[in-house]
Amino acid sequence: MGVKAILILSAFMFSLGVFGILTRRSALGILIALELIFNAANLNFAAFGRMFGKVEGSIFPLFGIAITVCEVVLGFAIIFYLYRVRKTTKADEIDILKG
Amino acid sequence: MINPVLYGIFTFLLFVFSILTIAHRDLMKASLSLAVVLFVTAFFYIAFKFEFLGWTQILLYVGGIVVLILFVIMLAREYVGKPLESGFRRTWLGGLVSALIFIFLLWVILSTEFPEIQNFSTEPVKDLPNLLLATHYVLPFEVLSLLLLAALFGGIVIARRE
Amino acid sequence: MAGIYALISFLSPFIAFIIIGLLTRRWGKFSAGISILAVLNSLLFSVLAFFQVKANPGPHFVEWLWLSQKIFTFKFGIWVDPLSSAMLFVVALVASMVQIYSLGYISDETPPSLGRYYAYHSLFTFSMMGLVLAKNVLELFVFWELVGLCSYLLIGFWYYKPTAAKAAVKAFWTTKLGDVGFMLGLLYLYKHTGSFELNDLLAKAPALSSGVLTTGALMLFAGAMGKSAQFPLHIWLPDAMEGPTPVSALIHAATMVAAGVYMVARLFPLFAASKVALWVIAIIGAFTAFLAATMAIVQEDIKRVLAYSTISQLGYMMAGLGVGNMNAGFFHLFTHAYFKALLFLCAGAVIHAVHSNSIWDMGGLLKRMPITGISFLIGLLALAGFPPFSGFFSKEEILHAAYTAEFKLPFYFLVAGVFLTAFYMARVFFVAFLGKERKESAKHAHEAPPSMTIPLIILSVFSIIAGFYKSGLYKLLGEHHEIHGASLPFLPLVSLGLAIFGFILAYLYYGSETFSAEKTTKRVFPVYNLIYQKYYMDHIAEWIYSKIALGLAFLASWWDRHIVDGAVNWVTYTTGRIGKGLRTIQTGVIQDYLVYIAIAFIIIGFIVFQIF
Repeated sequence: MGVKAILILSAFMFSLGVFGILTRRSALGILIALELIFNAANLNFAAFGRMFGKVEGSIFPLFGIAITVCEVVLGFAIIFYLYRVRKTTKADEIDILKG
Repeated sequence: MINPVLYGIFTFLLFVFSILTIAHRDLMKASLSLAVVLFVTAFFYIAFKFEFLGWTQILLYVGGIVVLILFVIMLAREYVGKPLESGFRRTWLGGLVSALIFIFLLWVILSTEFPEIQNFSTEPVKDLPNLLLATHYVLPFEVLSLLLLAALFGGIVIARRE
Repeated sequence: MAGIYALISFLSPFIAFIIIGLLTRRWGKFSAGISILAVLNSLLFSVLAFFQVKANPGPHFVEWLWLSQKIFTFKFGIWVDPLSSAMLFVVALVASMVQIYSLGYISDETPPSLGRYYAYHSLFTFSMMGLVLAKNVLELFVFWELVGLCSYLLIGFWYYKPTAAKAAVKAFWTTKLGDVGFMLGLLYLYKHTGSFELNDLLAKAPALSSGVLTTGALMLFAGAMGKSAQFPLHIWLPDAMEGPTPVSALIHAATMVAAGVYMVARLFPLFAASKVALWVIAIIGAFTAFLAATMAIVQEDIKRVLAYSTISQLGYMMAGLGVGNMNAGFFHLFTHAYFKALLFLCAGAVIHAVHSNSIWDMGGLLKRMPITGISFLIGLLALAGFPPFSGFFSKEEILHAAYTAEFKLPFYFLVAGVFLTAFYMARVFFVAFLGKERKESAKHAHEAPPSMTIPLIILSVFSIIAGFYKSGLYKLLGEHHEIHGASLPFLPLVSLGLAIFGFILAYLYYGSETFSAEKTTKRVFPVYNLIYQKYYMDHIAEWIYSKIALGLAFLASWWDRHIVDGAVNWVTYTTGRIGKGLRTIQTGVIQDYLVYIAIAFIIIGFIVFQIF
């Protein structure tokens, strides 16, 4: 089982995540898809670390996990706030940026 | 090394539960599928001899974030009064775009020559705390703790009722 | 030094214009004071410049760089030589006299309007001096247009009078027609000589082929025709009399209308190099002189008589130039400026006293307004060409030149003009100044205030003595053409005889009324009517204007509105439509924006990795 297989797997996960972000109606669904993307990226880091035989390969995923935590916390806070202001968590009903 | 069969099973699980995570209308089930995906990823990490990373993944991701997501979903269900579902919009366009991205990534991966896998010179688990706390990684590590603190405050400030 | 003096003389009215226009417009009398001071200063320095030039004919230059480019450098400068310094003196003298006179003449205007009047006057004086001193034809053209503008503004000074407004527009358009020719001529000559500088142009002109020279000269002459009211572009000048009388005296008698003559004199070597151009100038000048004189006979408005007389005299000047004697033409300009300004100012004084323009409302004014009457008589005698008044000498010169020229036709026109001139001027004098008062208002007429009579006296003096300066002026200008057959003793006798005959005939008709003017009119009614209708020139011009010019204007407007504007509108409309179309992609939903980002990412990725 080579690196390429792992990379293809994570590319697949990443694409699925993109699909989720682009199509999910609910903001919560978008956050879940985002997790998938982060996971794909972390998996890539780990695979490259293994390939070069370096311990550093595990440090970046660690940082990534920590950042994901921040992102999830803030994401939920924003969703709550939006729900209070706009009475919805549907991403496609939030169109303040409409031109 | 771990058995190739086990690798195959893991890959298959990852494959299936990734799709479920994205495709399931019921957000509860989608997030549970996410938990499985993260769990299997942790097994991959351990298979790469990144045991510390693997256990962190299970503890933080599966035990922390996924539980947080589940809490939120259940809370929302309490609010709305029915299982939280999420449909899709512009499925075709989104599908096309993400498929194109996948094709692009695939092409890049397949057209690149990767070097042979090398063995670790030291034991990763023993080396990691040393690397993290005694080399130039110490500064990002400390900044990260500040970032977490900031996110904590931010979350509270945004979600708090006036 | 002459250059510096001329420059001071030239710029001081401009400073007055700036001060009045920007600051003191509302204080009429104060503005008038500034303007008069400035123009007196001009007069002083023009005299100084003239004497400098007399000591050293120059030419003197003052110039500085204005525009500098690779293909063409334009210097702004003044050129002081005998011709321009003499003209400068004439302009400064007449302008200062007229400005002093105006103080009395339009004293009942409101202060802002008085300020406006003097601002225009200062601007005019400045522009006219600029025209006189111009060192290159481009500068000449700029000032040429500026005096045209001032003429427009001053004719329409009483803009609330519809006739005045119309007359202003008519003057502007008619002269503009000639100016188009003038401008084309300048560009045409530039194309062939590569220079706008007057001295370059004059130096290179004889080397040009005769076709080019004739075309260029005739195009320039078109401008002179418009400005100097030569047939058939003379129609604007009689209508220009709607302006205040001092304006008529300054602009439409003495200076601006002479600009065309001056321009031809200035560029005389260029014109002289083309026989055809000279021939055209002589014919048009002589014909105008005769035609305008006939029209002057039937006019009832005293100012219109003088206007036609001015056209006629300008015709004399043109004819003098056309028969090849520049000095004679310019000398006539020089003397005419004084006596015609004098006549106009007298007419203004009369109108001011009687409150009517018609000579039939006047009568017996000589004893009520002795100074004005005698001044008018002096001007009349000068105009009609009685010795020893200035007009006699200058007119004699022109007749002499015409007689000795190879081409005789202008001479007969001009001789006939002498008779007519004496007749129509004597008619005005007998009707307006002698005899009994015809209207009640004439009985209450009284002499004008000193601010008006003093300029009259000064100009009278100049009208008498200017003629004796002939040899001095000729020496200064230099002999361009020696006169063939140095003395023709019969010629002065013939013209004098004709003038006396005209005078006596007018006396018989209007003085003693031995002959009845009405009966004669009835007998020759078709001719009278033709003349009275100004040979239908106005009708023809109006027809051309309304049918051809307005038709072209309509076409141009249609083209502009539908094709040019249509193209612009189409561009804006299409842009608007595209904008509207693009607006719909701004849904405000973040996911849509993410789709665009993802598409862009794909495109960039595919390009960078050159997948296709």
